[in-house]
Amino acid sequence: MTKNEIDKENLQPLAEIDRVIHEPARLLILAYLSVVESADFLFLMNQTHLTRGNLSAHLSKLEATGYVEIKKEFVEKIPRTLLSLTEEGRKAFQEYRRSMRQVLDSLAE
Amino acid sequence: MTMKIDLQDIEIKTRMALHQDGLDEILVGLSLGIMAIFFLDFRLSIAMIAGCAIQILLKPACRRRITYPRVGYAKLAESKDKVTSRKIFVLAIVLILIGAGLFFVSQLRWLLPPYLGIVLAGITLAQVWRAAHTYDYFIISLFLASGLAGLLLISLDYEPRIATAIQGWALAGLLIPIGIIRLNLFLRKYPKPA
Repeated sequence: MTKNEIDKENLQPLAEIDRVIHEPARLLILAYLSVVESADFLFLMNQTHLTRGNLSAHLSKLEATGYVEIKKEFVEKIPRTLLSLTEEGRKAFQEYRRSMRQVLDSLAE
Repeated sequence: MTMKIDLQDIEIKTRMALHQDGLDEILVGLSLGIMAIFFLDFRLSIAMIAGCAIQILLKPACRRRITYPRVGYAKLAESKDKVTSRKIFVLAIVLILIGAGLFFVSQLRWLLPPYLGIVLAGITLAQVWRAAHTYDYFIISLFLASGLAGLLLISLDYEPRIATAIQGWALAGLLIPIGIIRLNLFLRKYPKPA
């Protein structure tokens, strides 16, 4: 195996990293959504400390990618806009964690 | 800027964000204060029903009016091996009733206060399982200590049923002020949005 091929193999996990999730704010949003069944906009804004516009833009991107689902529901008689991770989003988040771990492990060597 | 993402830490923060309002302490304190009457006289089962009603009806209503408009709403994920808080609550009431009945027909009445303390500590531990904060351990210790205090009262010749009722009122006397302080801090930190 040539040096180039070895380098390519080592850097393969880096190329597989999901760029939609890799953005810090979106990663934080997904991390919060991964521990809840659903949450509303205000809750995410308070927890992530993102501004309304910023959070809204990131959520739109995550929704467009199919990672986050936005639903309007009545919770205890009050209408709420609930955000939750889709099955695809949950899988992508887990895959991202696995890839990052792999990349960081290979860097440590 | 450094950012550390620890999912367990996020789970703890999420749960604490929804329970930082002090309502749990105030309402559990109120329930225990009322339920304590049941231990004085088992015929007063209405006290048990009233205590349960506070937890089932008042708590969601208070959260809806006080907590969610300020910090937002989130439904915590229930993993498959985790029983829901409502199931834990029903189980606790059943355990308290069975324990109270069994201990009073047997000669083991003196076991009622530590039993109550263990059941209350057990419910708290089950609810915070996997995402417990130091504050939760303080509350768990308080419940366990109340059981020992009840035993101490019995050793001072108090009737077990009176010792258990005092245990309930003492817990209410501690939990309600703690809850009021936390609620006050919460309302200052999160004024109601206009």
